[in-house]
Formats: sequence, C-alpha cells, structure tokens
Amino acid sequence: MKSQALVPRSISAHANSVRRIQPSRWIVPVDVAELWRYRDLAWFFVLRDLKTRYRQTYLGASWAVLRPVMTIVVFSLIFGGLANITTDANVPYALWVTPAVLLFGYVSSALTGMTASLITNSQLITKVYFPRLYVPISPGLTPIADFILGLLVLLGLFAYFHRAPSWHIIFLPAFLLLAVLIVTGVGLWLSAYTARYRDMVVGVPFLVQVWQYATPVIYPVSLVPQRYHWLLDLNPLTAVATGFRWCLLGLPIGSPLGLATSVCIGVGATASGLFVFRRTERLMVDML
Amino acid sequence: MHRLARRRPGSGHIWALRDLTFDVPRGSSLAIVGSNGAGKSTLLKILARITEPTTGYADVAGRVGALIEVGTGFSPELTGRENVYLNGTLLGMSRRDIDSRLDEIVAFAGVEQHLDKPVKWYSSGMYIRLGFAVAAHLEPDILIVDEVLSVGDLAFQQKCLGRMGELAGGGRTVLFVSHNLAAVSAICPTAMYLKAGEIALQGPTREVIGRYVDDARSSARVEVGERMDREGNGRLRFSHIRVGTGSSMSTGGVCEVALDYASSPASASVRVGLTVYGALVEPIVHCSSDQTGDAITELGSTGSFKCTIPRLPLLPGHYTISIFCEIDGEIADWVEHAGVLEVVEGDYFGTGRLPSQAYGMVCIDHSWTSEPNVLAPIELRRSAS
Repeated sequence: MKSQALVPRSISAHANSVRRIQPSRWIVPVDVAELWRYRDLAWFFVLRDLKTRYRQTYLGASWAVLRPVMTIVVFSLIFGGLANITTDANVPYALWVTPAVLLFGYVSSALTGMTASLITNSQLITKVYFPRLYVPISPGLTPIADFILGLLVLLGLFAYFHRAPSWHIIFLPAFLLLAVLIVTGVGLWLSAYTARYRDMVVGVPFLVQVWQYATPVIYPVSLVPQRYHWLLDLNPLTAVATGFRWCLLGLPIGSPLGLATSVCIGVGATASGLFVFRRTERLMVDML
Repeated sequence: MHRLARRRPGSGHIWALRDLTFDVPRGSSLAIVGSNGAGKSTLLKILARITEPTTGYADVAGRVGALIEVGTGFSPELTGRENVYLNGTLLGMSRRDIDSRLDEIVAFAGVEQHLDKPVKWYSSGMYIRLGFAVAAHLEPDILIVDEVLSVGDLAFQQKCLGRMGELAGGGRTVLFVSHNLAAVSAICPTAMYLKAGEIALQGPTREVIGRYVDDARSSARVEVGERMDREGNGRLRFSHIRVGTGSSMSTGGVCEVALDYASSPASASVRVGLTVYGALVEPIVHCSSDQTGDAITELGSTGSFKCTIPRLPLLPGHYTISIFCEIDGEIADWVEHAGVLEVVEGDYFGTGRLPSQAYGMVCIDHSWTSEPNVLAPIELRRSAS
C-alpha cells in the first residue's frame, strides 16, 4: 500500500504484535520476555531505594555498618559473655556470630521492604502498567548492598583477631543466592497477602525475630539435642547460616540433607510465591 | 474491542462498563467524553492494562503508552535526571531509549538548569512539565491520555496539545479523555460518548459533543438526591440544590447557591465547592471553601451549605453547576451538572447600561482613564499582592 510508506518504522515493527486484553485464567504465567524488556526498571527501582534509604540521615550509609556492629556487640556481651554460649569452634564468639548476624540483617530488611512494597508503591500500581513483579522483587535485592557493606565489619573483626577468612569464601555468592531465593519466596507470599490485609506490615518484624531464634544464629547447632536436629534442618535458613560460617570462617558445613532441603524449600517458595503473586496481581488495583 | 465489561469493585452488581464494542483504526484519534462515573477512566485503565476486564476482551496492536497521571512515580529525593530515567523505564522505555531522548525531554520541559537537583525542590509547574515531557517522548503506537491537561499553565497546555496533535498526525493512535471539549475537538475527529458504562453515541466529534452537552443540561434538571451518576464515599450526600429565589440570577446581582445535604453528624474537616460550566461544558469558574478560607468543621444529620457571590460576573446565558464535598481529604460526594443556573441581563457596573454579550463570558471590575496630550507614557501601578 502506498500510505504505508508514511508510517514511521517503529510502528510497523510493533504492529504485528497484537495483545489480547482479557480476564486472566487461573494460572497466570510469568511473562519472562516482558520482564526482560523492563529489566532497566528493576535497576532504577533498586537505585531509587538505595538513594532514598539513607537520605537525610546524619550518618548516611554508615548505618549499614553500624547496625551489624551494634548487634554483634550486644550479642557478644549477652550471649557470648553473660550466657557464656560455647561454640566449640576455635573462633572468638564475636567473629563466630557475625556471618549469621549479617544474614539476618539482610533477611530482616528484605522481608520488611517486600511486605510493604505494594503499599509504598500503590501510587504507581494504580496509575501505570509495568510488570508488577518488580515491585516486591526490587526491595528484596536492595539490602544486598547493605550486606556487602556489612562484610567490612567482618574484615575488621578478622584484622582485630589476627585471622584470615577461609578460601571457601569463593562460595559465598552461592549461599547468598540461596538466601535471596528463600527470602524472595517468602516475601512474594507476604506481599501478595498484604495487598488484601495489612497485618503482615506489623507482623513481619516479629516474624523475623522468631525466625532468627529458630535459626542457629546466636547458638551453635551442637547446643541443640541431636533428636531435634531434623527440626533445624527443616528451617531453610539453617543451611544458609551454617554455609556462611563455612565460607567465611572455614567451620564444618552442615548436613547435606539440610542443604538439600533448604534449596528445595527456596525453589518451592519462590515458585509458589510467583504463582500466588501473579494470581493476586489482577485484583491488586482494586484492593490497594 | 468486543463486549468489554467490568464490574465496579466492591459494589457487586454495578457495571462500570457494559457491552462496549468498538474499533479504533490504526492512526486515528478517538476522544472519549462523558460525565463522572460513566466509565471513561475504567475503559482507559483496562486498555492500559492497569486493571482487568471482568468479561470480554480487547485486541491491542502495538505498544501502548498511557498518561493517566503526570509525574507518576517521581521520587522526591531523586534528581530530575534520575527521575526521567525512573519514569521512562516505568513507562516502558529502555535506558538506551532515554539516553537518546534525554536532551529533547529536558528541553521540552524547560528544566535544563535544575536537572541535577532533587525534584522535591521543583515547583509544581516544573514537576508537571517534566512528567509530561517524559511521557510525550515515549513514542508509543497507541497513546492514551486521561485528563492530564487540566494542570500546568496555559502555555504548557498548548505545548502538550501540540505534541499530542503531532503524535496523532504522525500515524499514532490517540485515545483522549478530557473535559476540555475545545481541546478534544481540536485533536480528535471522532469521539465516543460514554453514559453509565455504555456507548451512547459514537461518530464525528462535533455531533457527539453536541449530544453530550444537551444531556449535561437535561441531567442538571434532575433532582440532585436522585442522581445515580455520582462519585465519592457517601459520608455526605447532596439532596437538593437551590439557586437564589427560583433559578434566575442577574448579571451583577447577588447570587446565592444553597446545597442541602444528608450526612452522619460529625466533627470533620470539610471542603465544599462548586464549578460553573458554560454552554460547551467548559469550566468557567470554581468556588471552594478552602480558597476563601471559610472553615467548616461541623456536620449535622441534615444541613445546608451556602455559597454567596456578591456580584455575579457571569453574562446572561445557561450554565450548569457541579458540586462536590470533601471530608477529611476524601471525596464524599461529587455530582457533575447538579443544577442549572440561568443568568439574565443585569446592571453589573451600576451605570444603567447592560454589559455587552458579544465578547467573552464574564464581567470584571474595571475603569478607564484618559490623559490626552502627554508625551511620557502613563505610569502604571503594579501590585505585588
């Protein structure tokens, strides 16, 4: 046709793709191609959260270091000092507790952020279309920056105690990925639930605290009677906490069964979380 | 579009849209007019994929860019530049797209000097300009614009309309919702009139607007308490609108409008207001209690608000009045074209002469002086307030 020459090229490029807008079915598949097209958005969400997080605080990003330092000091004084928890590892308590403290620093920030994410971004969700998955996923990624800064504390402690990290440290990203997977799964459930009921915005800090006590953070696995170890292994973060200590301190890695369980739970939680979130997505705008 | 329908959330059986079937050919521009609650925004939100239809479907060919609200997603702490990127990616652009259009966007918005300052320091005008600039450079195949031009100064509105006309002329498909019927007819040759979720009329814009205007006038004659097409959470409900004695006012005379309501008695922060519309359903003047600083803090189970305009500046003609009430920051009741205002000739200037009806819509206080035979220009006062 003659008139076609007048149409700008970008139009004809898209014109073939006809999208049907209709009520979604029971299972809403994750649109991977779309997530890829919008990948820059995930980055700008993370950047926004990073930049706004410590804006107008006097101490700024040093909070990322200060928070674990204070936790470590308190834990060392109370549990390592007063309660005299022995770790049966040839490692000072302060150093021993640090990897797990950093882990829970991440878990706590990520879960809090993910749970509240739909509410804090409700202005966006009701006004513009974009892949909503990035709303809860981004605040799950942002605190990784804090985690990395927190590793400075660990370096400081290594220097203070005249020790060096284990070569296992090269496996740290793998265990961090596992932590992200588990937290993302749980966070997706929580954020989908929060679209309807706001309870978890209040409940998450408490939930994280309980989770921390159910994980060998302040006490070693050896302090728990053998017959309860299966319970610890059911907690997917046990394997991550033990794994962190293996990577950073060279302590024995936990049971392979626990690690396998952890990976399965992580994958299962994320898969089911994606499913639940996608189901909720279509009604989200009306509920927010 | 085929039999597109959507229930209103939470209301069970009220359909916000019902059995809409229409086609928009590629490259054409369609205006959507209708009063509040007619389903315009719902339709746009479905097409923009912000909400889902309850039944039916729509086939959309090409990339959709929706401008439902200007500056969506601006983060006050981020700089203008960062917000352009955030906003652009949110609207579906890639970082590279924005890189190549950044200069254009910034020039369009006219914020070159402030690009690296946090937008919380921006004036509301700059904020809006930047927001529109990003969206205007999205270059989607289908552009959806919902009532965003009611903000910003006149010059910028013209610029935005110009840009929309450009896109419409350049082979893009434009769907445009606005109360500004002049803008609608300038950009869109065809229009669709939505009424209670259904298509009342579709065709050439002039025809559709004519019908919409007629309907607005006749609906203004229905008792306010019985109107179904209202918005708000219902904490207060207007039951009756009374305009002076009878409904005739004269230009320059005292105009009193009483709004009767039913509500639950409460102490709350109340904002009440009305907008007067002219013959083309164009807003002429807006009166609201927060502008005048008249505090209203008590509500009875029934009661009445009264708005007094000491010297009505409107020229003779037919006007309609929309009324709204906001309680604690939320719209409680909002009825468009709730009442009619008929203005007859009157002696506005107190000179015994009737104001000219040939030009303009309103009278304003003014006077003339003349200084013959002076060489120096007349000194003009400038008031700061």
